[in-house]
Amino acid sequence: MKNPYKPMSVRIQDIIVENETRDIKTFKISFVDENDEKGFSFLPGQFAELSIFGIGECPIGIASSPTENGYLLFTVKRAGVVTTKLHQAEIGENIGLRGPLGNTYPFDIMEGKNILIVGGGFAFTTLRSTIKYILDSNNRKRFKDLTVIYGARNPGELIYKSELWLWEKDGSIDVHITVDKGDKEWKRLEGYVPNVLKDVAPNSKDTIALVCGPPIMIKFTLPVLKDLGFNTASIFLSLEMRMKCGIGKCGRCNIGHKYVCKDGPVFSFAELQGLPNEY
Amino acid sequence: MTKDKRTDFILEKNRFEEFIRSLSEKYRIYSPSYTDTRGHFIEVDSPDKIKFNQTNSKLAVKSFFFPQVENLFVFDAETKELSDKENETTAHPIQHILFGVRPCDAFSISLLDAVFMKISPADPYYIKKRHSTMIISLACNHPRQTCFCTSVGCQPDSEKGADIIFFDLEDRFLIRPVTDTAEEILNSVRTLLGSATDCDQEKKKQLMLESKNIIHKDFEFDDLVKKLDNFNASYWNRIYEKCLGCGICTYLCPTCHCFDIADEVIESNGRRVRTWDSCMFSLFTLHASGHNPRPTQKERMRQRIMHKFNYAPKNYDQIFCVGCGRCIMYCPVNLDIRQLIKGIMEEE
Amino acid sequence: MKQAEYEITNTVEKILTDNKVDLFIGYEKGTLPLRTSPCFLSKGDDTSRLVWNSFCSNNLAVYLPRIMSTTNENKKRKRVGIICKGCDSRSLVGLIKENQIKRDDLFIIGLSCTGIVDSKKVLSQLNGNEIIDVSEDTESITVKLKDTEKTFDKNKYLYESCRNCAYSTPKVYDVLIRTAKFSPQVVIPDTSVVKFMNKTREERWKIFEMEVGRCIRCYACRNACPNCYCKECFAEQTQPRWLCVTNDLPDLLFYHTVRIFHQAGRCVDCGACVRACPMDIDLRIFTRMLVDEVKGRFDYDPGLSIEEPQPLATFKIDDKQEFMTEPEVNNVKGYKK
Repeated sequence: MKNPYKPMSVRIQDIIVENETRDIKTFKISFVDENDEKGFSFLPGQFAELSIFGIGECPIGIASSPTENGYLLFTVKRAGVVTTKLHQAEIGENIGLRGPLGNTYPFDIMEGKNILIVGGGFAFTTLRSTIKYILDSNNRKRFKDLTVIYGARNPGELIYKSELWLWEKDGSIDVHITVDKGDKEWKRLEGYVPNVLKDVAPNSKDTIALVCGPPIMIKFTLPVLKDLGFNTASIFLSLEMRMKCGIGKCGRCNIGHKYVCKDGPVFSFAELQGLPNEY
Repeated sequence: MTKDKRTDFILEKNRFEEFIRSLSEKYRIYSPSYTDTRGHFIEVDSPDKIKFNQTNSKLAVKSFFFPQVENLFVFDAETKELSDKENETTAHPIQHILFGVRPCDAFSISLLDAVFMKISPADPYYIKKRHSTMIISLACNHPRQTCFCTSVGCQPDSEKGADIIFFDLEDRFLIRPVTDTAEEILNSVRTLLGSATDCDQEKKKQLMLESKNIIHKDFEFDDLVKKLDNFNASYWNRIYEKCLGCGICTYLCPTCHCFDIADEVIESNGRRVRTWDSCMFSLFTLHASGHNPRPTQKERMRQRIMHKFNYAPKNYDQIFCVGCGRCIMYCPVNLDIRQLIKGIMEEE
Repeated sequence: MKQAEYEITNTVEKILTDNKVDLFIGYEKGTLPLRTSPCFLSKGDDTSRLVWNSFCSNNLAVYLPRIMSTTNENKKRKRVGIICKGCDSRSLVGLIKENQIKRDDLFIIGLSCTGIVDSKKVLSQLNGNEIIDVSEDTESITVKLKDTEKTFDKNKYLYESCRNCAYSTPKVYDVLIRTAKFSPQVVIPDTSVVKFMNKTREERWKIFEMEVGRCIRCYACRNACPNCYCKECFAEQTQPRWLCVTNDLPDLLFYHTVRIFHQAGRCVDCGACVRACPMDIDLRIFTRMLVDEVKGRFDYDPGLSIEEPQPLATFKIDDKQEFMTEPEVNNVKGYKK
């Protein structure tokens, strides 16, 4: 029987430094065993536990879309023991991967609707996966308008920069990039994400909102969405918790009776309102 | 043979040694130890090692299936190659017998089954031990002052989680097979067993009635689950005050199953181990960012009570407490969960 | 005992009503025989819950660092009243010296303690029979079982730490309540360390292995100890990770020896760690070694005075340095190597 604690062997193909302060890196990884690759089927929103043998594991959202073949992308911020060691890894090194874990963004509900994506800072990872998935030629017709509002503290902290500029030019997606504080070269929007959201004021009719960002951004974004007419069942958040097993057994990552690793990390705002405010 | 058609047997106490000896030819038998200060289950290499005591073992049966330290796999620290050969077999014939498990502890195993086996993905380490072990439980004639199993859906004669249940009728045991595996095992010692008569059944019924009368029924748990839906009730502000935040209640509890996973490397030998952890510890939910959603003992105490009496019923349809009383007996500050719950039920 | 309870209740009622403290910590009846439980009272709570008897075992000072770092409704640091036996008050003095709590925020009711009865020791004499009721007088305690009664001489059934205790009356207090003394407390000098150190190395290791080998890493010893107030214990640090969370002997050895060494010069030998341990590990065999070492080297008993500086935080020119000048002698007491 499959051992859910045993990681698959993966190799680091490439490492991209995403931000100026160099504490966010994207790892492009591929499976060592092609059977593992064939069996790895996921949708945007899910995560995997990356293993550094001898150090431990960390749960990281999958930043690549299932439409990107031959590799997976993980964008990791250096924070604790495992992520620090991962940041020291080199191209060609083998690490471990357990996944896909968690639930996905609600594509069954999103089918045929407008999609509004609101992201902040480095939490944009699984939202990138979602955008790439929706934009894929096989999928684009399944969804209507796609609006993206993404912001970071300053231009240096924006991640996936090269893709952001490509999306700006893409007619099938409406992109608004903002920073809290710009610099001399910054020519785009300046302002907090919730305020930009207010200005863009996307139509809430038949629209599903996906929100992912630091707690402070979420706190101020939710009232704006409410004012725009979004009901709580149409807003989805992706949460973070300290995790270990990733499969709903070790009892660590729960919010009320839901485990973030298993019943989440994607929750509708309606669902969260029925859960204890302990996260 | 269906459950209704199973017959109960009688084993005279003077044949008990033979019974154990016969079984130990094919299986390894374990029994709670009351002399070993580790308070654990010990291997029975001779029948006189089995003690019939009025109390329960200090450590719960869960450590047999979910040990405090378990190697998930080993790896070479240089090459990072993994090996978990132990778990590569899928067939698990019965190899071990746990004898003398109290019904509350056997019940607790059925609760842990829900977490480790029924909820996907299943845990192969637990399954291997579970499928290769038979549980013979011993009904309680003399519940203790700290027992409260009847308040949480268990009984001194509960059969849940056990393969066979023994009833002590003073000079003989009444043996009831509960599962199919039990039938096979008992068939191998059939010659030692007699059939239970109506008189035997009457005696058993009598003893169990007396037993149940000893235990106080402190609360109705359906009401408790509903009451606890009030996450922000004011009683949480006082309930936690005496708690020291150690792990005794969680480690000794038969149904607590929180664990940690850590890597350990000694020279070139690496292993990933699973170890018990406790929601009562201050760093249990500490994020790498420094944020802790449960920063004080208030939140942690609330989590423990809610997990057992509100979240588990929602997830598994069961209260995760069997009323064994260990948390009451061993708490260094005599924090009594029955008092806590009474306090919760009495609040507006 | 009753007189003392009466005085305690009156005093607490007064200080709560007069707003002298925001919270009072004492003892109340436990739900198990031979036990009491810490009791937290605010203004308006029923002060008749408070008890004082030979089962008031917990060292209440352990709660102070965490409570007194919080504030009351007036946004001022919480003022706390507390009942202290001799050992508890010495812990409290230690906490004041280490700046964890402020003397001005405390109202200390000191009690001259006559020793606490070892409930586990009494229970071990009952053959598994359960206690229905307990009563005590100045000399003895009587337990009522289902069919019989048994009486125990208090002197013989006190905790070891109480039998060795030389400072049963607090030296720092706001109010001192003298409880009835049954006889001048016979202080039994502790010989456990000498006995232990005179065994061979192999024998000592075996004892250590057997005692500490039972540990289940529940951390009750640490959490019951008033001196262990670190927000992040070395045992739980991940950066760097000093030890693993298993109960392999090397991990147990590391955890216990380091924790005990952290107590050097601070441990007042209250015995809270031993009482909290669910596996009945006699930690005092090891903690007393350090208590003895500090006493022998610096002639220092922790917790007697707020002004007296701590030996490991102070340097005096005449501090013994034989470990450098005469390394072949084991230490001040001259134990066998």
